[in-house]
Amino acid sequence: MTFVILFPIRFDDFGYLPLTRMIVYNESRNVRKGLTRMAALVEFKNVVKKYETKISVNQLSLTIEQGEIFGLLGPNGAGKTTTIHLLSGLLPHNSGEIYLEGFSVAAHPLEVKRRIGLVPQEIAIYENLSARENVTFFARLYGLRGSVLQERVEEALEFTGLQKFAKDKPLTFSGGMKRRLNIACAITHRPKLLIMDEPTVGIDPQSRNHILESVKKLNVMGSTIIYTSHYMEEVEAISTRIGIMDQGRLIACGTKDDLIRHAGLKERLMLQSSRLSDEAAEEIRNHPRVTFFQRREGGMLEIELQESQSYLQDILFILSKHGLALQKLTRVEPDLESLFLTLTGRTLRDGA
Amino acid sequence: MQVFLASEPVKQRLVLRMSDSDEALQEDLRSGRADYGFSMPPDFSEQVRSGKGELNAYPGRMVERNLTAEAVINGFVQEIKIRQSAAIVTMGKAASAQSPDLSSAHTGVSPSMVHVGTLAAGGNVVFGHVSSLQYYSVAYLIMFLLFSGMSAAISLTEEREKGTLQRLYAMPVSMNAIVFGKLAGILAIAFIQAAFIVTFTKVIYGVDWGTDYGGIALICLLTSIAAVCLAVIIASFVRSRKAVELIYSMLVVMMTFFSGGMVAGLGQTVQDIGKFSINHWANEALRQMMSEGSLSGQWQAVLTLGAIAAGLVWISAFRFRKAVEV
Repeated sequence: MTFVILFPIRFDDFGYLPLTRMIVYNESRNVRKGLTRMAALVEFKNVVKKYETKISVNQLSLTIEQGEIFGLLGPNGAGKTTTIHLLSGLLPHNSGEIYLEGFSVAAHPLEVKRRIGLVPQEIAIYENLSARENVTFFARLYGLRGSVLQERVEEALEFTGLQKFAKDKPLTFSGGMKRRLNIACAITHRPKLLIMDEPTVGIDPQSRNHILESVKKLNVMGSTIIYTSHYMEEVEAISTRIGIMDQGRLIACGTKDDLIRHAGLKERLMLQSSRLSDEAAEEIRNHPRVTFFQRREGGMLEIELQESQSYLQDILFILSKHGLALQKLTRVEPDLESLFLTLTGRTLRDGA
Repeated sequence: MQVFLASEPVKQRLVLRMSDSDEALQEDLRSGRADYGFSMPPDFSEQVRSGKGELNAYPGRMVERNLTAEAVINGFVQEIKIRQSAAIVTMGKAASAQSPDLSSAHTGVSPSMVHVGTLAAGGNVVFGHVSSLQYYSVAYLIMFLLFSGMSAAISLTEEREKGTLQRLYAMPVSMNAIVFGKLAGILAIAFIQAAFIVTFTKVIYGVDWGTDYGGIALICLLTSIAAVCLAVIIASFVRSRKAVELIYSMLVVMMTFFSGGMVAGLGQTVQDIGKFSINHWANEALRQMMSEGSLSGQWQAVLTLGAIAAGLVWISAFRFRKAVEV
């Protein structure tokens, strides 16, 4: 039995996608192929990947829904790249199951690969081919031909801002331009899932911003995105949901607010008083509502205060009692770095 | 002949020394004391007068020196032919009927007056049954074919290093299709290269490749397959492009050297070592075809080359995954 499902998709100002997308779902054929799962776009079920004695991915279970920008965060060696290599079919997994749009990666690798665009961590382009030739070459491997091929190549070059440099060889490109070409080569076939593995490593802030904006646009245009990085600011800025990996395990997963709430992290106060005495600092530390205390250089105190709005006046009173003036007071929202520190006892940069 | 050899242009190019016998001459060539040798029968002048005459030439190890010596000898032969032609004109048809060789010289068809000898003595052979040009053309053809395999190894390691191989694997194309497509392209280039070398040496240097072009194509194919498999095996052990380049080129140069592809007529020990190389059997098969040697000899060389290629295919099949993994 064949169902034809028509539904509108979001139209944006790029004119990139048609107004409607048609999915033909042949139930009987899919059942024959063993496709029974159509709920999540990506599903990892107890996946393990071992390299001889080292376990690189350990019992990973994860679901990514269509339309998400899923940020995969963790220090170098946490298992992020291995995870996306498993999903892309570049590496076989030892146990567990991985599905993309209902297709098992192990059983139907080519079906999975057709739906994925991979932006690898290395700039994987041919330096002796022009930008257009590079994009065309990879687009042809996705089966694009004729006028569709030409149209999509131009779209990808325009999208990444490389149309003016289409005839130039990447040898003459800056690091940021090469990174953008790396992305262009992965999007011509309009993948359901775009996997970006550390796409901003070693580039200038302007190119980084361009890439981050591109990620958001691609998501608006209909691609689900998995974005790995060890730059927490990037992941925090673009992701709708975040997974944190450490030593091959997914140690936390959810929206940023969920993660912080579940970890019990609270905002912190940074107080600065240049002549801060030991007595005053000790009295603040001993305040019953202070749950975290750290003295920093330059008369700076970092404290976590329960019901800070009510008890901040107590802290200010202690300072005035010791004849100290408050020079600066800053509220610090809990971030992913502090979350990672709380979960692992290490910072992301330490891990790297 | 003595007048010709004593002439100033010849003395400028060659240093001449008389040898006591053909055997002594061959020994001088083998030991490297002489670069080129030729002998003529005691009644050479009589033979020439009667429209015949034949020189025995013995090329040495160095192809350039052989070419120089051959150019001088050819000059001498041409002079003789001119004089024979003059005799035909002077003596008329009677002379022509008496001497078919002179007749053909007159008509421009050059019968070979120079018989290329070999340094055969006690089973030791420098160029075998082929000329030095044929010998070295074959050696260089096989060496170039083997070097074409290096581009396969370099291409694999370079793509691995740059990450493009990983990107290709992420495409909806099987890994085998990607790698075999790449290797097939390199085989095709090797074939074009081989065709060019054969054509070039035939047209420019007049190298006689025989008539069995199918056989030559088969040997080129087997050599190219062996080269590509060797490349896969090396790429499976070595990860960096520079190391692959170094190891592969050293291996090819060593195989070419031991098979006599650089200097002919090296000692028996070197020749025995050379028998373990791809070059030896490919060279042997091609030279047998060129000289239209015995069919069994040709097949023995071709089958041995085929067995080497099959062995390398077998080993590379085991090492394939390691060579192409990202």
